[in-house]
Amino acid sequence: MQSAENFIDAVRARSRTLDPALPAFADERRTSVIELQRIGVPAGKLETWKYTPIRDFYAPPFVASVDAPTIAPRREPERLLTFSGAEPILIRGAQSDYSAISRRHGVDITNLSADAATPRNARLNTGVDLNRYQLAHLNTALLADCLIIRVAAGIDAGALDLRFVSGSNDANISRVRVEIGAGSTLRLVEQHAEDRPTNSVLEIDIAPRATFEHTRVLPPTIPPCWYLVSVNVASEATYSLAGYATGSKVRRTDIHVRLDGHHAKTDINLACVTHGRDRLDHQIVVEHIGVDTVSRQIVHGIAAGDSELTFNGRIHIHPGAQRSDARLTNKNLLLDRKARINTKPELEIYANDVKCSHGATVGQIDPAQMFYLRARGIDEHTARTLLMRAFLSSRLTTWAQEAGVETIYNELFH
Amino acid sequence: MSNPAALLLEVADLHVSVAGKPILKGLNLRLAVGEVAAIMGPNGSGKSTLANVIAGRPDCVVTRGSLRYLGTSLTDLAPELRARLGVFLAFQYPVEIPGVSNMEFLKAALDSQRSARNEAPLSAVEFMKAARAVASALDLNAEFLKRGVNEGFSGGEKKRNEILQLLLLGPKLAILDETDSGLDIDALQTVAAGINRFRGPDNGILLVTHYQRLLDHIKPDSVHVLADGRIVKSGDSGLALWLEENGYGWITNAA
Repeated sequence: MQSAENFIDAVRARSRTLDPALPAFADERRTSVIELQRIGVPAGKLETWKYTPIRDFYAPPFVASVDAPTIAPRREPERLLTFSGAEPILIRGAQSDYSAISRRHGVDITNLSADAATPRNARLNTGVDLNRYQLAHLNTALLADCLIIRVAAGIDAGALDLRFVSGSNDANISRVRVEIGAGSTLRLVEQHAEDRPTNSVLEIDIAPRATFEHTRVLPPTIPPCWYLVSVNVASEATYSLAGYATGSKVRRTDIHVRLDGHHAKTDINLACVTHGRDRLDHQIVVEHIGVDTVSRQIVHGIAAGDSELTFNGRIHIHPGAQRSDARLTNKNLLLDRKARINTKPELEIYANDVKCSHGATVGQIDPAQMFYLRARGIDEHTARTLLMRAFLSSRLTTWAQEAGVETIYNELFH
Repeated sequence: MSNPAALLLEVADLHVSVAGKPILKGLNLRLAVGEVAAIMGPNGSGKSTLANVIAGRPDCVVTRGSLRYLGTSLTDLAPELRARLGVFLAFQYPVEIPGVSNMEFLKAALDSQRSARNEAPLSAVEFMKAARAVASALDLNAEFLKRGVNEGFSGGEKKRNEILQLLLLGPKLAILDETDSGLDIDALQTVAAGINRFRGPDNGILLVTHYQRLLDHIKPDSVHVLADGRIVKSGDSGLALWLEENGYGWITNAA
């Protein structure tokens, strides 16, 4: 096992090799390396990393040498789904291929490496809370490129499908930054089918009155994966997220939504499943900063086998965020004796005129529902499957259902 | 009813406990093919437990006695196997299953029962045709088939959905557990018409009810009074009318 110092040294060395390809961001990269050195690799227990070992994300595979033999570019994994009307952007490691996208007025898609002439338009990490998410420093330090999607004001930008796959033996260090202009709408699918260690950051900036519909699919994989979705929502804008996730050996996903402007709104629906010996850990922070902001979170989870499913949902109402309206519901089914579910909804309120509710339940498949189905001749296995599907599908959008998102849960159903 | 070949259901000395508490305490009952029997009795007498134990509800535990259906012992059979043999329970409180459409549920039920009889599953078109026909006979709009199973249904809609399943699945033994409760007079007539449509010389019905009013619409061949886990009195349809006048107070006196 490599020591913590050695790991940071390896990050610095790797980071320097990236400078020639992306010189404009050498400063950011260097700052992040310095920060990583200052913070060090966390040794003890951190409250927000209680169930998922953060050290798994500071491991040697994340700094695989550039000289490591790369394997032939992989075929696009079959487990990527097709969402009707969404144009694909293939992201192999840090390299994005958006050549299939039809050019349209007001939608600007580019790689940071190609955008070096005007880098000031897209500084990294502008909205990312780096104190909270140290792993974003690792992402910055090791970043070879970044995809930028900019939508001008007042247009319907249609639907895009970000398809993340592994391109080599290296870890997948990816970054996508999305900026949506005032009054515009964008639907974005984010599908992760990497089979190498992953550190992925998605930054989203939603201007006033804009709408961003985010669909996220995390099919089963093996290596450690960390993802951050960091969203800033301006006044009267909406961020909605429909996420469908399964586990890996360790899979952690952080979601940070800041409702900055008045009447900003977010609506989060997640369906999470773990089986075998997998782990999946969702940590959501929703900050109500503007007045009259609204948040809804409904998270359904199923844990089977010897797996561990973790959910932490924190609602933070800032001073002055009057008439905030926040609701969070987390419902879980525990299928087997050795499966584990950790759930912690949290409320932190610093304003006096707010409506907040949160609740979490952990239960088993309802025996009354089981008997009802079996009394009609449906066998026990089919009845269980129907009920699990129903529990998850209540969180599925029609779009996701049509794309066959349920198939990512199939291993659980058989 | 002396010919055993014509017996649909034979319950002998049946003892059943729920959560360790004895509910049925030596119940005897026979139902012939073609017979409609009403099971009446005060609250807590064990009527629903009787209905549920025949259908195989897992928490109704048979501790003694026997439960035979067309000569086959039911006690060790899983609920789905009983259903495939032709046993049907119309639930007193049909459960809501959000996320499973009524259509998906009905088709899964029908397919499983047909496959047990070595019949091919219905095509989606054939199934929809059959389901729509039954729904319209029960004043249920076809939109109803697309909704989640019993999800957000009114009390009357839930009961009509039970009768819809009865007519669609076509069992041999129908146990109707308080199907009349919570129905207004119009819904009661619709439900009763559905039950009468099902009634025939080849099947039998156990009508579990607290009140006589359903029996104005469905005339039973026999009436049994259940009290404290046993049948304490049996008679013809006249017994139901007598109960309507005299109530159940006499049971404590008789016991």
